[in-house]
Formats: sequence, structure tokens, C-alpha cells
Amino acid sequence: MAWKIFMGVLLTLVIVLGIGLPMSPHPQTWYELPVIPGLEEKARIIFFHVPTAWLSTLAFLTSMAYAIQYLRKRDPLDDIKSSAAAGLGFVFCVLATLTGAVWAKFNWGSYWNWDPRETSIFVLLLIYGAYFSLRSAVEQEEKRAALSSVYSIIAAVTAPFFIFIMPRIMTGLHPGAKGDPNGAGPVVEFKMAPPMRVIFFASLIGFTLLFIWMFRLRVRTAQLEQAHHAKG
Amino acid sequence: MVIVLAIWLGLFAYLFRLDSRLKKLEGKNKN
Repeated sequence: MAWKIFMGVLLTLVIVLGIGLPMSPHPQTWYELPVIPGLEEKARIIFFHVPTAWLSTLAFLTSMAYAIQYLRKRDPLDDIKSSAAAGLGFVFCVLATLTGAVWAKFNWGSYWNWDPRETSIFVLLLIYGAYFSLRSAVEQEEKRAALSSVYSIIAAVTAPFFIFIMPRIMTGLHPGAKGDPNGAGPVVEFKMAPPMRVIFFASLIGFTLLFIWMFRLRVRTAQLEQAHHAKG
Repeated sequence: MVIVLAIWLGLFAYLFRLDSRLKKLEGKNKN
């Protein structure tokens, strides 16, 4: 219970401070965020865009871990956990795409630019969309669990390539793309100013706790649904 | 900020409600 309240307070603070703190070209106090040339006020969306993208990666890897567990032990609970994680990963992937599209509109002039990172998240959405199509196409529970576990493992193996490798070996608009004079980007190289960094990492922790809570709720709901069906 | 905060607090309240309802249902299911 306490950790849920902690998470609620943390994410509320991230929203209030991340959006509300003033920006200044030469910060004089701890509560002033620096103006990043070219980003200005738009930089605030980083507190929501990067954590949602991070959570989709975490969720897809969690889905893979439970898929492996299912194939080893054939426990239906592992299949429930694997699909719950994949579902949440898909939701956070959509949120990362939406926040990224809004950011792109105001920074690059268009909601969608087919930048390598945008292309890779689009492909990931297609891959995990197909995962749910597969699950809904197979009626027999054991067969569905086995097939979707194998698919989840293959899908999660491609995820690091689309998230970490492809956007770095191709030229693009995102920080850290091939040929970027600033290197791997402010998040990877810890180039953010201290107050921004504190809010950013608080957001990462808060979103991760939110994922854990939502994941548990989803698993418990699915277990109750299963028990209800078993009773008839 | 107000809109984002309202969405977040709404989601938070919904998750809390869902959590407590699930607890009740799990209790009923055990009995």
C-alpha cells in the first residue's frame, strides 16, 4: 500500500514540477530548468516520452521472460503474466508514439517523419499487434499459450534491435542517431542539468512502479476471469 | 498541466478502486 501512495505522490510531483517549473537561459536557483537551444519549453515532454518508451521495452522483456518460463514449466499462470506484460508493453508503446508525435510536430514540423526511431516503433507496434491477433485466433488454451510464448520470445529478441541498434546505425532526427555531433544524446550520456535529471529519474522510477502495479492488477483480473470460467 | 494532472489523478483513483474491488472478489472466491 505504502509504495502505491509513494508512486502516486512521485508521479504527481513529476507532473507538477516537470510542467510547472520555470525555464531560464541562465538558471540561478535550484528550481529553474535550463533552456535547451532548439527545444525550449518542448523539452518538458522528455519526462513522459522516454519513461513510456522505457516501459514498453521493460514490458516486452518481461513478457519474454514469462514466455520462457511457460515453455519450461507449462504453468498457465506464466502465460497470463506473459500476455499481461505484452498488453501493457503495447499500451506504453502507443503512449510513447503519441507523445513522440506531439513532440515531433512542434520540433520538426510534422507529426510523423519516418525517422529510424519512428519507423522502428511502428514496426514494434505491428509485431505486438500480430501477437494479440495470434492469441485471439487460437481457441485451445494450451496451444494458444505455447504458440504465443514462442512468438513473444521471437518478438522480444527483435525489440532491442529496433529500439537500441537500428536508430543508432542510421542517420535520423533523434539524438544519438548516426552522425549526431552530440554523441549518444542527453539521456544516455547524462548531459541533463541536475534539476531536470532528478525529475527525469523520478519519472522513470514512478512509471516503473506504475507498470508493476498495473501488471499485478491485470494478472489478478485474468486469474479471476479464469476461475469464473472454470466454475461455469 | 491541469489536464495532465486530472488524467493522472483519475487513472490513479481508478487503479485504487480496481485494486480494492479485486481484493473483495478474491476474498469471495476463496470462500
